[in-house]
Amino acid sequence: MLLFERSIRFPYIALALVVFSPLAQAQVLFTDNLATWQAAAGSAINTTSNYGATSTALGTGSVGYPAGTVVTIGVSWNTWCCGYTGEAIWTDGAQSTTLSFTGLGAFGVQVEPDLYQSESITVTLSNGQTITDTVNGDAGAQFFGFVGSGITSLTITDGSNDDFAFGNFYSAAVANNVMITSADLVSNTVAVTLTGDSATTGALTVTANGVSNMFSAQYNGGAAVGPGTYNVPFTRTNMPADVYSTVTAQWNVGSSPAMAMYTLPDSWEVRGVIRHSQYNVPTESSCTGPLVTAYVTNLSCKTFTQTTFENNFVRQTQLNGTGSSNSFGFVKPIYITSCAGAKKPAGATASNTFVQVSTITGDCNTQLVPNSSVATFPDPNTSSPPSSVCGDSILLVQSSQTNLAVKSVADLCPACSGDFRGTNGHIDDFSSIPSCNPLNIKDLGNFWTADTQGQSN
Amino acid sequence: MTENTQKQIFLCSVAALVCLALSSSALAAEALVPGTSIALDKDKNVTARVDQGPDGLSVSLMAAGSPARTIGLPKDIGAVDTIALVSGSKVAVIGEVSSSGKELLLYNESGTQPVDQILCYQPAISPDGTRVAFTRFFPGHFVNEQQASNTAMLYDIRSGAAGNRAAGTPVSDDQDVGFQLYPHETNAAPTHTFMSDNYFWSPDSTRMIFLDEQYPKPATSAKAAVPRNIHLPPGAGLTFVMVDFTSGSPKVSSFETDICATHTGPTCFVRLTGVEFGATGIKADLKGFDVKAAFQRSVELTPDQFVPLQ
Repeated sequence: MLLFERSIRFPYIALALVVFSPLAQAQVLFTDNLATWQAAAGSAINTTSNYGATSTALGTGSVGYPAGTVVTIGVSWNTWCCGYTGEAIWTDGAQSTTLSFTGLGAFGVQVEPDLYQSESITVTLSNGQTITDTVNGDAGAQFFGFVGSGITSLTITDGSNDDFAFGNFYSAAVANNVMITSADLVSNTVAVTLTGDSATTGALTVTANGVSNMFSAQYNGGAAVGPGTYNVPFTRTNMPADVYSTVTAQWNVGSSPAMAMYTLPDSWEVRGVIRHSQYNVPTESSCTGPLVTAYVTNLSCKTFTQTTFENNFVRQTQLNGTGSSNSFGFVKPIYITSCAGAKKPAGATASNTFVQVSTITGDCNTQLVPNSSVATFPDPNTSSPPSSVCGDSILLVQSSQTNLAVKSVADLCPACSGDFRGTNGHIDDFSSIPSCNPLNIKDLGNFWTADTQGQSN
Repeated sequence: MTENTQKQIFLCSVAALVCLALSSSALAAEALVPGTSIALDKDKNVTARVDQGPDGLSVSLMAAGSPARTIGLPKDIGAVDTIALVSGSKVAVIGEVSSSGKELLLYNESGTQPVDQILCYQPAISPDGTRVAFTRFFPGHFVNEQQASNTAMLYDIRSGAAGNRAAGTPVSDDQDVGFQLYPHETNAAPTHTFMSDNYFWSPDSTRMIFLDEQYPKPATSAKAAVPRNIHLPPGAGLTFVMVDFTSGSPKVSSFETDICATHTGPTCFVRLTGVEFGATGIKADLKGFDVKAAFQRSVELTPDQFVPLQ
C-alpha cells in the first residue's frame, strides 16, 4: 500500500463505538479520552518528534515496538487528527503491533488506520483490559491510554486487516498516587485506590475530618499494602460527635507519603450515643375500660358527631396527639388542629373532642412510617444543618458495628430537648407497636447515631 | 429549713445551694426504683416506698406512730420521679406519663385519692413546698412547633384544686390548670422553647429562673427569617426569665443574653443546666449539647439586668 494513496482532507469527528471490558485490575485507568487520561496522569509529557524505528525515549522512560517506519503527519502520512503535525510510527503492513514500556506509570498514544475508512481498532493492555473503538482513517486518529502500575505492554490490532500508524505519545513516570473514590458512613466504606510501582508498599490510613475532631482508621491494622483498591471501615461507635465534611487517605510510602482528600457530598453529622425512645399511635381496639362520650369532626370543623370511645383511648390520644379509633380511623385532639377555635356543640370539650384525619403526618407534613420515621429536636421543619432537618437519614449503629437501622427524620419531638438519660441526646422513633398504653412502648435503646443527611444507601 | 421537706432538699442538706440545682435535673433524669425506700423529711419521720404491683405502681407512706398508707397510682404512670412532703403535710408525687410528660399528683394528709392532678412538663416544686412551676402540657407527638410552644405555669399548692383553675374549669380537668407566668403574649408567634433542664428555684423560694429560646426573635415576623441554631447572632432570642415572689404575687422579668456571641462554632445550642443564687448575683451554668458537645460555660447574672415584663 502506497503512502501517497492518501489525500489530505478536512478531519471530522469519528463516531466511536466504545466497548469497555470489565476492569481486571481496578487500580489501572484505561481510557480512550485524552482529557480523562490527563486528569488522572497528572504531570505528563507529550512527545511528538525524534521517534526511533524500534523505540522512542519518553523523558526518563521509553516505549519499544516492532520495527516500523517513522512518518511525519502532513508530509509522509496525509491525515491524523486535531491539528497534529508531529511524527508517528507506520506499521507498514502489520495489522497488529505490541508496545512495551520502561519506567512509565502512564502512557497514551493515538492510532489511525491506513485506509480512508472507519475501522475497528482494539487496544489491549497486558493486564487484559480492552477497549475497541471504531476509528476513522480519514483524519480520525483516536487516543488510547492507561494510568497505573504493572502494565508491561499495549497491543494495537486493526480489525479490518489494515495496517495503521501510531504516534503523538503522552507519558508520565511511575508515581505513587492515592485516590478516594467514595466514602459512605452507612455502608461504612471508604474506597481508596492506590497506584504506583508494584513493589511499593506502605500503611494506609483514612481520616474523617470534623470541626473539632479527626478520626482515623488503618487498613488491616496498619499492615503495609501495595497498589490496589481497598475498602477501609471506621470503628464508627468510637467516632466522636462532630460534623465531618472531608475524608483524607494517606499511603505511607517513601519519604513523602501520598495523600488524597475527598469532600463528602453530605457532611456526616455524628451525634455520638443517643437515647432512642419510641412512640406509637394508640389503637382503640387495644384499650380497655368503660366507654365515654366523645365528639368527632372532620377538618371542615362544621359537623360534630357524638359517639363513644374507650375511656383509656380518649386519655392516651390526648396525651399522645393521635389515636387510631375503631369507627373513625385516625383522630387528633381538636385543640392541636385547625379546628381548635371552632364552635363546638354542648358537651363537647377540648378533652373529649377529636378531629378525623386521613393519615398520620408529622411536623414535616409527610406520612409517618412505622419503624422508619423518627422525631427530633429542634424542629426539623425550621432547622438547618447541622441540626437534623426533614428527610435526613438517621443511622443507628450497634456496638458490633453493624447497622441497626437507617431511619428518616419526619417529625418534631418536643420532649427531646431533654431527658437524655446519660447520652448525648434524644431521638424519638415511631413504632408500629399497637399498644394503648405508651408505657408499653419501651426505649429502643441507646445507640451511636449519625445524621448522614442524604446518604441512606 | 423547717419547710425543707422535699426529698431533694433532704438529700442535699449539706451543700444546699449547689446541690439543689444539680439534684433537680438529676432527679428528673432517673426514676425512683420500685422497692427502694426514701426519707421525705430531714428527721426520717416520714418515709416512702414505690412498689410495682400487677395493677401498676403504688406509693406507701410510713410515718412514725401512724399506720402505713398505700396509694395506688393511675395506670398510665410508668415511673415515679419525685415524692415530696409539700405545703405542710400534703404529699406530691410526680410520675412519668407519655414521652417525658409528667403528672403531678397531690394528696392530702390522709386518703388515697388525689385531690388534684396536673399533666405537665418539667414540674419543679419550690423548696418551701408551696408552689410548683411547670410547662403547660401539650401532646408529646404529632404537633408542630407552634403547638409545642412552651408556656411556663404556676400552681399554688395552698390554693387547692379550684383555686388553681379559671372560673368554669372543672377540677377534673388536668390540662387547663394553673396560671400562666410566661410568656405574656397570647398570639401564636414567636414560639418558645425552654432550654432549661429545670425551673431553678432559689433556696428561699423567692425567685425562680429558666432560659427561653424564642423563634423567630421578637419583632421578626417571617418564620424563616432567622435560621435557628445556625451561628446565632448576639442575643439570638435566648432570654433568661426570672420570676420574683418576694411580694407574694409573681413578678416576671427577662434578660436577653448574648451568650452565643463569643461562640465560634457553627452551632450555639445551649441549655441552662444549673443555677446558684448568691447574695449579690446569680451564676448560671450553660452547656451546648448538640454536635458541639464541648461547649460549656458559666455566666454571672445580676438582678438589675432583668427588665420587668409588661
